Amino acid sequence: MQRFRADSSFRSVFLLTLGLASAALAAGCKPVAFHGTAYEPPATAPRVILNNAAGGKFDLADQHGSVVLLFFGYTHCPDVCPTTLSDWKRVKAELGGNASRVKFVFVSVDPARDDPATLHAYVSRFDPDFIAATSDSTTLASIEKSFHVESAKEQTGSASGYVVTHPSQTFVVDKDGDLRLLYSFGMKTSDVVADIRELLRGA
Amino acid sequence: MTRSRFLGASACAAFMLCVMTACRHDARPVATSFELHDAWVRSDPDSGSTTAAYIRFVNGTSDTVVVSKFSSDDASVVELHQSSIDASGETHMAKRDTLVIAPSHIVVMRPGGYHLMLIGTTHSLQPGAMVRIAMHLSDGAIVSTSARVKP
Repeated sequence: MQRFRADSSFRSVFLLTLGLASAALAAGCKPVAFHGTAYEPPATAPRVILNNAAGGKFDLADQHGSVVLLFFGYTHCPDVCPTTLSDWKRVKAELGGNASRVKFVFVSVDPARDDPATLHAYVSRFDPDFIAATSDSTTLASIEKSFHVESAKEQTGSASGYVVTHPSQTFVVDKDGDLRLLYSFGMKTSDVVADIRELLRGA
Repeated sequence: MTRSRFLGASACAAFMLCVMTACRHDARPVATSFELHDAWVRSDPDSGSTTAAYIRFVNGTSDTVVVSKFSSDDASVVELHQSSIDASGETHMAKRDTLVIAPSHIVVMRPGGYHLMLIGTTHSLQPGAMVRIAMHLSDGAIVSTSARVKP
């Protein structure tokens, strides 16, 4: 009788452990449901080497260990670009301590008007930690092509000069250097933060 | 019809009338005039630059309202622009000459859509400050609003 009780109890613990292990394994294997549009399968992000405001280079390949948010815009853009930078500011604040492992990179596709210093001053208005970078138009066109997007100058008759048609999305590169997510304009802060946290956890 | 059935039917009809009246009332815009609400301007620390302003236009009248010109003492030029995002995600911006608000309609300016371009700001626009913006209507009237500067 005593032996039966011991066997029964052992069996219960064994089954419980097996059940918990299976559940944990299942949870671990379950793909993360990102809020942003996911690149499947993830692939190494395109090569991005740009000039930063300090006269140095920004190389996307050097950002391993950090999640990178990348946006193509320009400083004379009064609507979509500052809105995106304001969104990033909220994302950074909500990330708290994790923000140190996230790089926010604003790439100007209007090098004729946005020299690195002008660009840096503009981006710093939103957050001095945001990275401002640009290059010559040929290099920028090549980088945009590798992301399957493009920009173009357009004359609208505005007193503010020409406008630039540009991508409205934000690209997200994970800490291993893979292009993982794409966010449409007007992304919800809490969704972006949740996705970035998953990527920082290694999703 | 018995008296109780008559009373029941009358109560039911009265209730339905109330519901229908309430629904019809709710469908009407709250405003009965042309109004401007929730105006704001994105801050810009640099004088002489360009920033955007957003306003909600409520036309509670039975006439179409056409805004043919915009102006502000805080900017050299104020233009109406419209951003749009195409199927591929590219954002385009077009200058518009007039803003048309149909009778009993609301037009909401917001990032990624209609906005006013304040070009050549006359001074630094810091958060908390107010900017006066005037709408010149096609019938000659001028309606203005104060827009709060936000980060």
